Parts: sequence; structure tokens; C-alpha cells
Amino acid sequence: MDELIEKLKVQIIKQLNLEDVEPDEIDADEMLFDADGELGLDSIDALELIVLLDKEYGIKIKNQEEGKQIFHSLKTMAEFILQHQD
Amino acid sequence: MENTAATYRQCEIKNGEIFLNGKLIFEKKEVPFAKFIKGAYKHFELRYPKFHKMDRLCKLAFVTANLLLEDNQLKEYKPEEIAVVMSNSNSTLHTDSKHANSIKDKENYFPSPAVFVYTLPNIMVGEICIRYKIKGESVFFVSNEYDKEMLTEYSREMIDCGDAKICLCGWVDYTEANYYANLYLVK
Amino acid sequence: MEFIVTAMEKAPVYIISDNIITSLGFGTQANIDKISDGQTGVQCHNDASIYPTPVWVSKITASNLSPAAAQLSSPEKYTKLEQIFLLSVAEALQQTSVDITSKDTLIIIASTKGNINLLGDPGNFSSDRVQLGTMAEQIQSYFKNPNKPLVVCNACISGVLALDVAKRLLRKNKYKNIIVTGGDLVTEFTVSGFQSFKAMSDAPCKPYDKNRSGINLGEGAGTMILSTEKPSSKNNIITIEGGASSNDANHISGPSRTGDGLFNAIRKALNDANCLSSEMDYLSMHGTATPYNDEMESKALGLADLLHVPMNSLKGYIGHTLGAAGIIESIVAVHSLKNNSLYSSLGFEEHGVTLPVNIITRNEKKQLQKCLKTASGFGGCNAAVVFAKQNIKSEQG
Repeated sequence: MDELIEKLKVQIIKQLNLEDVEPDEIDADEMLFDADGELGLDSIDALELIVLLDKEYGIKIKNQEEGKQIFHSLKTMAEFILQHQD
Repeated sequence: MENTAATYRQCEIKNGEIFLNGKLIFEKKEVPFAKFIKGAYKHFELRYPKFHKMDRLCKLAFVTANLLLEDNQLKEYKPEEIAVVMSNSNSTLHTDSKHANSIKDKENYFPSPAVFVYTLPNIMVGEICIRYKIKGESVFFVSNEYDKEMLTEYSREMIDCGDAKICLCGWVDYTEANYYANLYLVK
Repeated sequence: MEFIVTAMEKAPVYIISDNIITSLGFGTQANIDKISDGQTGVQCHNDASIYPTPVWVSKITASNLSPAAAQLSSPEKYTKLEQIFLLSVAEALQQTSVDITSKDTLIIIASTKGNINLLGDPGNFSSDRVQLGTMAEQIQSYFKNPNKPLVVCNACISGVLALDVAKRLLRKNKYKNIIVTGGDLVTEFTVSGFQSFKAMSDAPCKPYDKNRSGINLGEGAGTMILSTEKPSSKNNIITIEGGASSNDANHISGPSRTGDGLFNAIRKALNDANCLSSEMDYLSMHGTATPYNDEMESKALGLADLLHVPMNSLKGYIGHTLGAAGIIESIVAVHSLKNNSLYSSLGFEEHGVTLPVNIITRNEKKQLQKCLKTASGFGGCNAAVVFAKQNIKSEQG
């Protein structure tokens, strides 16, 4: 699980063009889409995470609504991947 | 009716150089565009996290607009009083190609929303409007040549008939072979 | 917010002819007849050249386009979109005595992606045909017009915005006639892009409906010929009375949650037309059927005191035709005024926006004098125009 979270940190930084953000700056339990959060993620980023799940893990998410729970934090993302990966 | 609005203040970016009102204020030649524009962004301490998500065309427009509008050029105007009239010749060709490449291979088919959103040239207007809280009228024209006269006249008429009090005008074009930005204010 | 309306001479802007080409047919009447009949051009297409999996779009088939294009001089010299533009402009022109070769006539083109289907694979055409300026030159030279066309490329508001640009130029008598033509294609480029936004419905779209789930893309062209010269023999003279645009300054792809931006465009357009909200008899809205767009529009209408006015979206009939949308849908609005006809908003069944907008649920004959057309698009842009039917008894020249 920890290994997956570390891998996700690197992937997210790349997928979302989070320049100047280091992996160790992202907390696994931190709310990814917190309006006041450090990362400043928006609706396009949420869609990009859907692309990431498909591209890297072969998991298809239908829409942003479905993504909301999954992308709550890195931890919830990792848990979801572990549950659904082939 | 006489055209009473006048052009003043302009910023130009080309060949690794940035000019404000004709004076060279930054240069970083002999490097690829991405390095040049990032260098300018850091040099002028523009501090805008969303900058890194923009495509090259928007980064070019953004830096040009920032330098044009620094020193609170828009301070005395209400958001609805500021208009934007911009243009280019290649629309969003560079990013179009990036998007097209992402759908070339049916086995590796992952179109990206963060890329696709930049396949419309008026997005650079949107980015500038968000940064500077500009809510007035705007239009984006595409033409093979930069018709500064037409844009200026169009802006002057918007001002003269009361649809705006100040107008951000100009041209921002990017291809891998060449880039050129010229933004100016009309009031 | 006060805008100073000076008492300067503003030439009137008459709509003297129009043409629509969509999957519903070639010609304004063909389209209006189908719309009146509740027919849709949106179908499920299983076509790998558009997308790997089936999609619901509105497409003009080659079997419909080829025979029509055969009427053009050397159709093989023109791309699919150019053929559609040329046919549309030619047909609209035929209904008038406008001299398209005159310096007094300008062409304005609205398109979001032009010949984007040529990108990477231009076929028999040179690669620079992808450039909108070059596409515009084809149209200009076909009709031997001496003026460089203007190309408005402003996302989904391009069509409405092009009408507003024309309005500005005509009011100042820069030109006597302006041919405003908007067009876009359904391409893999745009389909895949909107799919990445999860913005496409996997069924016919349902604007303002509780169960709406996204857009259907569509292709086509619409042409409106505008003039400062009053049409001589027509009964129902329609004018563009006002127009405006605005920016949300909120997000590059998501509409504002408050509807402020669109409200500003509407308010300014009404002001420009010297009209009150209460004078609007009908609203032709953008209504793309995405959850956020339709909700935002209802908020804007609430702010503008227009909730009670009968409204529709035409996207259910022809899909979202991008650069063509503002023109095609404006033409239908103009004919709604001429025919005193309200056409139902196809796809709507159950109210699905916060505010109580007044969706037209079945065709109705009603006296209509003035209407408002709106559009909103990526980049946070909004545009609105006001159309009015001239009262024959009180002509004001």
C-alpha cells in the first residue's frame, strides 16, 4: 500500500503538471480537492486523475461523480486501485 | 464620431527577448522556448501556480499580459469596463498536434482534458481574464497576418460607443518554428 | 453599472436572408420543418474514424453532401467543411440582390476548429489548409469578395459573437452588407476531446432535464446575411437590436456557479437594444445539456428576471454544432419570430435545474416580437443578441 502511494505521488505530479511539488510534500491522508489546500486541484485535474487510473491501472471511471469518493485522498485512491486492479 | 481612444503601453516578446514600450527588459536567447518562458516567469517573479498547467501559447500570452499590466494598469477600471481583442494566425496548432498525437494509437488511446482545453485560442483570453478579474467584452480573431490597425480600430470603437473604457489588444502566436507576442492597451 | 449610450447615429441591422445546413437537411425551411415535426438528426454512430466506441452525434452524410456539393464550381478543390460553407453562403445569397464582389460586402466566418480533420493527414490539400485564415481565403476567393474575411474563433460563442461583431461594423456603416457564416465538423479530434471531459451523453441529449448527462456533438453551417438597407418587399422584417459579450473570469472550462457572467452579457445586450427583460417573448438558449451549463443558465436567467419567458435549446435536434451553433440557432429564433411559433425543447421531460425556468414543452403559436439568443463557452466567455420583428404599422426607417 505504501509503495503504491509513493508511486501515485510521482504519477500525479507528472499527470497534473504540479511543478515545484515534491512527492514528500503530499500527505497520503490530505484532501486532494480541498479548496484551501496547497495543491490547488480543480475539475480538470479530477478528469486527469480519471485518465491516470485508466492509463496506468486499466480502471475505467465513468464520470466525475463516481470519481469524487475515489479521489478524496491518495489513500482512498490507493485503496480503490488495490480493490479493482486486475 | 471622432476616434478619441488612444494606444499606449505595449509589450512584445520574440526571439528570446522581451520589450516593454520598446525597451529590452529581459533576454534569454539560444534556449528552447519552454526554458525561455519559464526563465521569464521566474525572473519577473510572476508567482501563479496555474502557470505550469498552461500550454506554451497561453504561457506566452500570460507572461506578455503580466508585464503589460504590471504596476496596476487596470486598477482604476471596473471588471466589466475592460475589454480584450486578441488574434493570431495559427490558432492553437501546437497543442492541436499534441492532442492529435494522443489519439493516434488505438492501443494507447488516452486523450487528456488538460491538453484538449487548450485547443481553443480564446482560452488565453480566459486565463488573462481570470488572473486580472476582467469581465468585459472580448473577441478572438484568427487571420494569417497581424492586422494591428483593424484590432485597434475595433477596440477604439468599443470604447467610443461606451462598451468598454480600456482595451487589451494584440497578437499572440506560437508554433515550434516561431513565436511572437505583441499586446498593448487602448484607452 | 451605467453605460453611456450616446445619441450618435446607429445604422439599423436587418437580417435579409439565411441558410442552414445540418443533418436535418439543406436549407432553412428543411431544418425548420423537421424541428417543427420534433425530428432529430442526432443518431448513434458506430464509426471508428470518429471514435473507438459508438457515439451519439449529428452528422451530415457524404450521400447527402456529395450531390449538393456537385452544384459548386470544382467541388473537389474544397474540403468537406468548405463545401458546406460555400453551399450555405451561396444559397443565402441567392435569396438577395447583394453583390458579394463589392467592397461594401464583408464575410465573417465563425468556426472553432475549421479544417481540423486535415491535421496530420491533409490528403490532397496542402497542410496549411488547417489554418483558419487559409480556409477563409478559399471562401473569399470562391465568391470573388475583395475584403479579407474576419474569422471569429471563440469557442462555442463564436456564432453569436460573430453576429455581434457584424452588428458593430454595420452600425458604423463600415460595410453595407455582412455575410456571417458559421460552421464546424464532427471530427475524432473534437469527439475524443469532449469524451476526455466526460461531457458527452451516451444517448440523445436532454437540455435542462433532471437526467441530462452531456452533449451530442453536431456538424453543420448557418449563414445570415445582414444589411443596413431595409429589405423592400418582405413582411416580417427582423433586426439585430443589440448584442454583447462578457467573461466569467472564473475557470477556463467550468461555467461560473453564479451565472454572473452570462447575466452581464444578457443585461448589456438588452441595454444595447434599449429593451427591458419584460419585452422578451422568447429565449433561444445555449442549453448544451451538461449538468453545469444548464444550471448556470438558469441562474443567469434568474438574475436577469427572465425565468418566466418561454425558452428552448435546439441542441436536441441538431446537436452542439460549435462554431455554427450561434448562427444556426439564431436563424431558427428569427424564424420563430417570423412564424409566431415556439418550438419545443427536444429532450426535456423533467425539470432539472434549480430555478423555475419556462421550458417550451410543446409547439405553440404565439405572437412574438422580440427574442434573446445566448451562448456560453470554454474560456468563460458568454454572448447574447436581441432580435426584434419590425412592426409594419409603426415603421421607423
